[in-house]
Amino acid sequence: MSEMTEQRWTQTITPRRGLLEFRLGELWRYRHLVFMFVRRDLVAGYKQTILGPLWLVIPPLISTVVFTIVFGNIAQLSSDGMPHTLFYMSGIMMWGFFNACVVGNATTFTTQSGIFSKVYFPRLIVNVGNVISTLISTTIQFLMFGGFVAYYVAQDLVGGPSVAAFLLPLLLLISAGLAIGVGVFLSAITAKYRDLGFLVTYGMQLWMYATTVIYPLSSVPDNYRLLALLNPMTSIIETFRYAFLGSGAIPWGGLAYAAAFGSVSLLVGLIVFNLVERTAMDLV
Amino acid sequence: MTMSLSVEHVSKRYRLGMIGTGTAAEDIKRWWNVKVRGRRDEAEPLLPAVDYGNQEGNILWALRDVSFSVGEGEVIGIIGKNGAGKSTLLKILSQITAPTSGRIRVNGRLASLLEVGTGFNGELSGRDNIFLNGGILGMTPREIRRRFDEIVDFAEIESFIDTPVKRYSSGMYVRLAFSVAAHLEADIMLIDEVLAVGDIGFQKKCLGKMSDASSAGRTILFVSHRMDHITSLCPRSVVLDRGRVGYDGQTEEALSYYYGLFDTAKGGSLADRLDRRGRGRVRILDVWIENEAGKPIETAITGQSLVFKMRIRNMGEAPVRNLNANIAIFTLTNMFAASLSTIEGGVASFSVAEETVISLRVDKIPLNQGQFYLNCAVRSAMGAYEFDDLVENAKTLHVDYGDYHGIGQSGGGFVSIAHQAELEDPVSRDDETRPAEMPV
Repeated sequence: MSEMTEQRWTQTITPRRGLLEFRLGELWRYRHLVFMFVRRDLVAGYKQTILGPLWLVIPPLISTVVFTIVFGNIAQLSSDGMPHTLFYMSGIMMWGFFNACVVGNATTFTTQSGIFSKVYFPRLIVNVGNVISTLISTTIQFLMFGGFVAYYVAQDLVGGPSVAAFLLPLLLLISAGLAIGVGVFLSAITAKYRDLGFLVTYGMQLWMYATTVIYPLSSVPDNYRLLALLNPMTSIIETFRYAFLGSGAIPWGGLAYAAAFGSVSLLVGLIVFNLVERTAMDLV
Repeated sequence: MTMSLSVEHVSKRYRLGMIGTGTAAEDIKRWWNVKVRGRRDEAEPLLPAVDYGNQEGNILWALRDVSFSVGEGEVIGIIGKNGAGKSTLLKILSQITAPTSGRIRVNGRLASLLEVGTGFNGELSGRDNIFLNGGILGMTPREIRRRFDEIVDFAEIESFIDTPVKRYSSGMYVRLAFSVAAHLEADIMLIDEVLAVGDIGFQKKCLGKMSDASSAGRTILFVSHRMDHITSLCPRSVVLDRGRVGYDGQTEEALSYYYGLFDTAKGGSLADRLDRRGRGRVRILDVWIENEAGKPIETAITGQSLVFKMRIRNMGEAPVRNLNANIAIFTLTNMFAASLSTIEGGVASFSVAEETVISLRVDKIPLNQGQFYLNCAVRSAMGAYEFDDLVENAKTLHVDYGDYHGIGQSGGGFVSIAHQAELEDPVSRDDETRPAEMPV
């Protein structure tokens, strides 16, 4: 047919998509939507609450108090010579960021099914938006943390931030990559099995105890040390504490390992997500 | 002509009962019972158990080798009975789910409106929701800003634009939602009956907006049960029948093909139809209409005496008591026009021992010219009114022009209503003078 030669097609919908075909261009075209989702999360989340955004800092504050009393004062666990409050708060914040990203991403298909079953847009937009919302909440928590650090520095109780504090964006990036990887991998499974959604929360709690949130790496017995370092979040929290409190040391090897682990998990997560994304709505 | 959309041999397969129970524990238990212990699989199939004629074992072909193409600026209707695959087709075209095989090529930006107000958040203001919903539908903030005033105007909510939408009345909410959708700037639009919202005035406004869109050169695929909307908007229609393209061409012919799908004369006897619902203690074997002389007819005349008859068989041994039969009359545009029933006809309930024929007599049928179809049901006249047998589109009734009012002409609308006219001043009655004024 001669007329077919001048026919132009802008898009082709086929049954399958390449494993590594992430369509980042399309993601970029929808970038505005990310900010609309973030805005929705931040604005709608705290409307009609008395304390509003204060809710962002209250839970980590309470956890810090509880951890200080239970693990610091009663169980008398080591805090590497750091003030208990700062030690626990730093762990709680970094872990909190990672945890919120994983949990938020793990259930996107079920929580967003109302939208996903009616409109198409690159599904990853929701995941990216989720991480950015979490990042904004975490930033507000960092401000609180900064206040505490300043107080303790003024009292001359800690060394305070060092040059390593500039590693913070890297730490957040690695955590976010790892969290998206783990999260979207889990979301592919929770799309089919709802009950695994509960298991995610529980599993993350166990993972927290395997991470140096309530104890320092230095107090881990030698025969467990390798195991502790296999957990990429350990190096991230250790680095964070070194950077802001001056405790421990930067585990460079561990950090490189965490970066590699995070990248691989991100890639695997995205591949699995890519496989499931297009038919997930038949399952939910 | 340049093409906007080309659907090539698209099929979509669902596996019945294989989708799982939704929880891992249940699935493992089921695997243990069925595969290891050899028990019967008790899991409920996720998809409807009704076979519309497109199942093979536990495989359902929601779409099968569907091909058609749409030219730029064309407006086509997608019609078909329930389960014909309309929604699946829209879902695939709008990329909510992927096809099992085949290919779709698109030329231009495609937007789908399977629902209005997707992603609306009650806590956010009307303004925020316009941006959020517009963004979800694929508009950029710049496009939304440019059309913002138009959107607000069209929705008639100016003074509430900064109020959280959860405080809106349902009418305002729907108007805002539709308004955002109506201002989408896409080359190709897929629309799924979203017009069936709002009050009649707003519906008309929406239809107007739709014809504006089509005259602006946009390509539109419109799925609806409202045949009047299809007729007024779409010159061409595709009829889906059990997952396949049954007819593709002029809407007028497409509609007659579509109505033909309901004719039991073509599709086998009523007693054998599988798309029925109810407990099944009794079954409607046949439905027919007789004139005064007791002769079965297919076409009635407005004002004629008719008897609607229904043959019912008891499918069990013991007599079934406390029954009530009814016939719901629908217009072709899917409006519920009237109902006939044994209760309304003066029989509180009846029993069926083996087989019986129910007659519903209408002295002067008020239905006006046009085509109607009948849904027939037998249900319990007691308590829960549970259906024993329900067959939709059991029969088509054609009605021809008749003289209901005895004045030599027929009225408009779906039905004629007997009524009297009265004048305040009897002298102003013109009947006698009329012949004199008539031109010779």
